[in-house]
Order: sequence, then structure tokens, then C-alpha cells
Amino acid sequence: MRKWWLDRGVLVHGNLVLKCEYHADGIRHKSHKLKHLLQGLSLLAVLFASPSYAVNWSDVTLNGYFSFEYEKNVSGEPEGDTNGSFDLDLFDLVINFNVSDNFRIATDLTWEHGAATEEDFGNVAVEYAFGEYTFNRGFKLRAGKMFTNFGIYNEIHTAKPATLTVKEPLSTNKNNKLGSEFRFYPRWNVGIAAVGDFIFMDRDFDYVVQLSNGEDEETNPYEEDVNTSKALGARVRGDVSDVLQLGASFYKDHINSDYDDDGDLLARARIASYGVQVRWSPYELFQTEFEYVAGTVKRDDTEKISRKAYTVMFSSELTEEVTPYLRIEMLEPNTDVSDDQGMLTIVGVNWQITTNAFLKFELNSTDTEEANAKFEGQDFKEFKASLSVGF
Amino acid sequence: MKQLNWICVVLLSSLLSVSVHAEWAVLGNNSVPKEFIDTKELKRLFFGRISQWEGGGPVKLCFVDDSTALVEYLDEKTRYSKKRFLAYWNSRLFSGDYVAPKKFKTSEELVDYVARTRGALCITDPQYVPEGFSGKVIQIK
Repeated sequence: MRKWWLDRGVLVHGNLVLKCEYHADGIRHKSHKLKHLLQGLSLLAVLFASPSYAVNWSDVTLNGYFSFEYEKNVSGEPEGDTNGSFDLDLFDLVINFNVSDNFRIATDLTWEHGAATEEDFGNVAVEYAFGEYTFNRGFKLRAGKMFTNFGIYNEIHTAKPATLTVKEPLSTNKNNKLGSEFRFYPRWNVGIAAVGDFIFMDRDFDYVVQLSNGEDEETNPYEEDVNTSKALGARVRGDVSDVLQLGASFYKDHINSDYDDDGDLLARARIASYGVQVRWSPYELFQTEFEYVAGTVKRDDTEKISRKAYTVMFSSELTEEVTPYLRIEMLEPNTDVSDDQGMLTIVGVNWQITTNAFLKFELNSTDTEEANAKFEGQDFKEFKASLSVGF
Repeated sequence: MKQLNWICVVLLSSLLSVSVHAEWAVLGNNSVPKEFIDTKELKRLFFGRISQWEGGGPVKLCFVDDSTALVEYLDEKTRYSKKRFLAYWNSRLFSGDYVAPKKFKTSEELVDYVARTRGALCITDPQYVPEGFSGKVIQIK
């Protein structure tokens, strides 16, 4: 079992030793800050140290991405960013260690919003870290922390060079930011997954089935499950023709949904979500994507809530570099409440300034109804711009 | 005899026309268990749908970033622009799904990589494939 540990300023990993020094004041920092420091040091050690049983660099690939953003409320109610702010959104390193022909370790380490642990600013996180064993192309097993495989966007919600727009859709992916109490599914999970590709009727399909701890707000769900129920999710996608890809996803869990101030459990809730997705390219340079998600939340102490959302986007590559887009999003947080809907319309342009580097400019119009829990009928427009680079 | 010569010329030229296209060629490491690949299988390989070679070992893809070979291949055999192709691979790579194709600055680097990397399969400009290349030129059916 390979483990890092800190021994009087020396970071040890098997035969690999990295000396580090820290200021005496640093000892008084909260333990989570020390964890952040260790995380950073561990990465540096992996990248630059010379272990006596070395990583063979031909078996390692290092990639990553960078995103810098600007947002400003330009009209309507004073929601969103009214001052106009620059945001070092994220810097991520994506590393694949090919341990053998059939086994790899994949990880994405992120530093978000100019992370500075001394000030408790930003976020340092393991987006995912899992081991994957390949039995054959149709069956691979993964174990570790993973993105929840649901719909089009969740696995790439931080990977801004992979998306046309500045942000992922709120309605289907981040619905708690547009009026829902709970998301349709958690961002991440820890558990095991089966994934693979297969051919059916001469068409290409892929699938994933994930079994995980699920989510919880009181304890670390990536370390310990607070209840015996496991979350189950799955998705299948298929290129049903040269121009059309279809997919379907589901996620369900029985979570601890509410605690009192002492951390005692007050209520549990059953979450079930279903989604369909369509990608259609009727012409080579014109793309359409559509995602519909619906589901229910049933707390032990309240009535069942049904909710639904959709996202539709049109884009066209005007030139090799310039792709304008239009995205429309709708969220119905509770289908039994008549005036809680949230709508978001985005008009923008994605400009590839060099290979895998993109400037994005867009106008986001948010329109909500009075009973919407997030914006309460406050309508506003925001200008957003970003520079995103993949490497 | 003259007719036989003509038949030979026609057969040879048709063979060449399927093996190396005017603007792009597919190179493989000697370990690649294929001499011929059809265009459907090539697309499956270059879009990561086939990640393991028959008999084992990962498929390792590559191309030259500034070359037109990839653009020509995508234009001729798929409905993807290079921008969409890279976005597709950004999605697969950054989601942790798969390791993306390796990008090289020069054809010389690519040729060297293919020759020495087990499982490598790469698209390049045919004019930069050196004589005496120690890998294989994969025939496209």
C-alpha cells in the first residue's frame, strides 16, 4: 500500500522522499489547510521528484485546462455580479498513469478561483481519481471518485475548452442555482462503475453503470456513507446514424436530507432523476443539442415534489474559428407550483484564437417567476466572457 | 503481353489509391495487428470507440497538429471539422474517459513515435513518410 505521510517536514512516499519546509505559523493553520498543502506538495513530488522506483514517463500523459472569466450584470434587477468581476475560474491538471496495458489511474486536480489556502479562498479539489481496469473494449471496471455520468454536461462541467458556452446549463445540470432545493444528481460520487463501448446493428454505443455512496452534506461522502442505501446511476448513448446521437440516463438515491443543529438526522429523501439527450448535426457545420431531465424528490416529512427541465442549443461554425450559439434553458422546480419557473436564454459566440484556445462572449438573460426559490421573479441580464485553453 | 502490363499498372495504381490517399496516410507500429483497415473501423479507432487491439494492448493515437492530413481525413471520411474533433476529444479526455490522441509539432516526431511505440496508429501527410520507415503504412479499404 503506497501512502504519503509527513514526517517532521519530510514527505515520504515509498522510496520517494521530498523534503519540505514550512513556516512556524503554518503549524497553527487549520488541518484542512495542511491537507491542501500536502495535496499541492504531493502533486509537485509526483511531477518533479526522482523516485528510486521511477514512473516511466512514456506511461504518463499530462494534460489540463485553464479558464479565466469576466461577468457583469448589465440590466435588470441587481442579481448576479453587479460589480463586474474577473475570475481565475480554474486551472486543472489531468494526469493519466498507464500502470499496464490494461490498467490506468486517471485524475483531475483542480485549483479554482485563485485558490489561496492561507486565506481560505477558492477551492483545491480532486475532481476525479480512479483506477480503471480494461477487460475488453466492452467492459472496463472503475473504482474511485468519479463524475456522475448523467446527461451531456456533468462530466465536462469544469472542462471549459470542451464546451461552446462560458458555463454549463443551469436548468439541467446546476438546477439548485435556478430554483431547486436539490440537484437532479450530485456532481461526483465515490464507488465503482462498469463502462464500455459496444456495436449494435452496426452502430456505436457506450454505457456506464455507477454504484456509489451517494451524497451527504454533514459527512464526507467520498470517505464514508451515512446510510446503508447506495446510489445507482446509469447512462447509455448511441450514434444511431451519422448525424444523430441519442442517450438516456437515470440516477436514484435515498439520502439524509436534513439535520438539526446537533447533526442529528431529521429527514431522509428519495431522489430519482431520468434524462434523455439528443445531438443532431443535420449539416456538417450546424449542430443542435437537446437535453430533458425529470424526476422526483420525496422527503419522509413532506409531499413528493416532481420537477423537470430542458436545455436546447443551436450552433453553427461560421468559419473554422467562429461559432455563434443560442441556448434556451427552462426549469420547473415543482410541477405542482404554478409560478416558480426559471428561464435562461444565452446568445453568444465562441472564437477559437489558436488550437484549443477559445474566447467566448455571451449575454445571459434570466427570467423567473415570483415563486422561484432562487430569484423570486427578479429578471436580469449578465454579460459573460471567458478565455479557456486546453493543453 | 502489352495488355497484361496495362492490367498490372491499373491494379497497382488502384492498390496505391486505397493505401495512401492524396492528403493523408495511416501509419502503424509493427505491433499493430492490422494490414488493412476499413474506413468505418478507422473512424471507430480515431474516435476512441475501439481502445484495445485484438489480442490486447491499448490503441495509441496521434497526429501532427499543424498538418492538413487530419483535416483532410475528417473532411473526407467523417462529418467532423477539426474544431469539433478536438472538442470531442477534450470531452473524452477531461472527463477521464480516455487518453486523447498525441499531438506532434512535426512529422519527423510522429514517424519516430509510431516506429517505437507499441500499439501506435497515426494520421500523417504521406509525403513525410520516409523511405525505410520501420513501421507500417496501413492500407485503407
